[in-house]
Amino acid sequence: MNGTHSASGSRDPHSPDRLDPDADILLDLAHGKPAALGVLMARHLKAVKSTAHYMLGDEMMAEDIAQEVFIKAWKNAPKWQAGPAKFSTWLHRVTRNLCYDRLRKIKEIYPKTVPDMVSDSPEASQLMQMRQNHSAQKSKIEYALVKLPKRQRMAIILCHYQDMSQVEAAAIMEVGVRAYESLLARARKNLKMQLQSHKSELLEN
Amino acid sequence: MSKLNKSRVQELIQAYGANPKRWPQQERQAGQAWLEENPIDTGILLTDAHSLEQALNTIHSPSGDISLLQARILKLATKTAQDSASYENAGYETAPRVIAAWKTVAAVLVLSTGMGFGIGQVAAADTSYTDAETLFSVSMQSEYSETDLYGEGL
Repeated sequence: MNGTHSASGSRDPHSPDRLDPDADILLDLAHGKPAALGVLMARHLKAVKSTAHYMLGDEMMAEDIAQEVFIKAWKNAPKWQAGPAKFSTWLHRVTRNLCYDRLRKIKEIYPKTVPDMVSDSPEASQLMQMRQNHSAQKSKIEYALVKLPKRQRMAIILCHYQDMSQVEAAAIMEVGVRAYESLLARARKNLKMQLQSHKSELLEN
Repeated sequence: MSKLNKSRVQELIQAYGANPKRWPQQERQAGQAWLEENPIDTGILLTDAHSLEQALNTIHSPSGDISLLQARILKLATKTAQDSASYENAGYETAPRVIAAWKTVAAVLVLSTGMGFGIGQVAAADTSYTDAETLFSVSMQSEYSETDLYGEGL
């Protein structure tokens, strides 16, 4: 949580945090006012939860991650210092890290996976088991998504599902804009390759 | 507005997809102009990208009611605040010292069990005691390591 001054300190109306859309509630959040947390969740809970859902492919895990993200925000708000980064960027960065951490734990629990899966995503087989009731086509696409290496998956989620600008997404992923673009290109290429065999079905639908 | 060449438009499509609204803002207008000026190339470039977009659009995150989750988080946050307030009010400011003392005792016990020595012997051995305490301290601080790993900059 870097920047120039503490959220609990005095506010300069011309300071950089005026550019942060959440600047209006950060002081109250730092002072532990539950209403401010309510507003923060009204603004960002859906996006945080859906990012976790696309990353992990599971609703319960996504809710757990979202809960952890906002409790961290609540506890750490007094330490927040306004700077060039927006508070929402920090929220999404925490979401990303918690998802990566969860994927790592799943990988430790399920170290062996079906042979045709990429080594970076052993969780895919477990997630597929949870999705037996879904339509076959949707499952194929979800499967292709969870088979992507986690950084490529996160890039696609931020770009395609969260409609984030490349600058904001790159900040969340802690990479440069060109590196983010490269991750996206590799993600799309991998997805295309995986979906190649189902191309006719996809086009029909 | 600077013009884009075919190679750059191709890169944009390969990275951001067929929908120009997802392209970088500073290149969006020029990119769209290129697409309009080059309809044949555009058709070729966008075909694959469109089918992938359609495929991705079939997946939706459940957009149900989040009020229950919201209430749960608020309740937990309020409880966290109350717990820390009552902890401070109860005068537990010496807690770190209590924990440190407990860690010392635990370190001696762990070491004595592991090495098969008696408690009295281990307590007398300064070097082993230091090692055990360090090990125990590291394990107690795992949360901080995880935070560092996250790179949250807290």
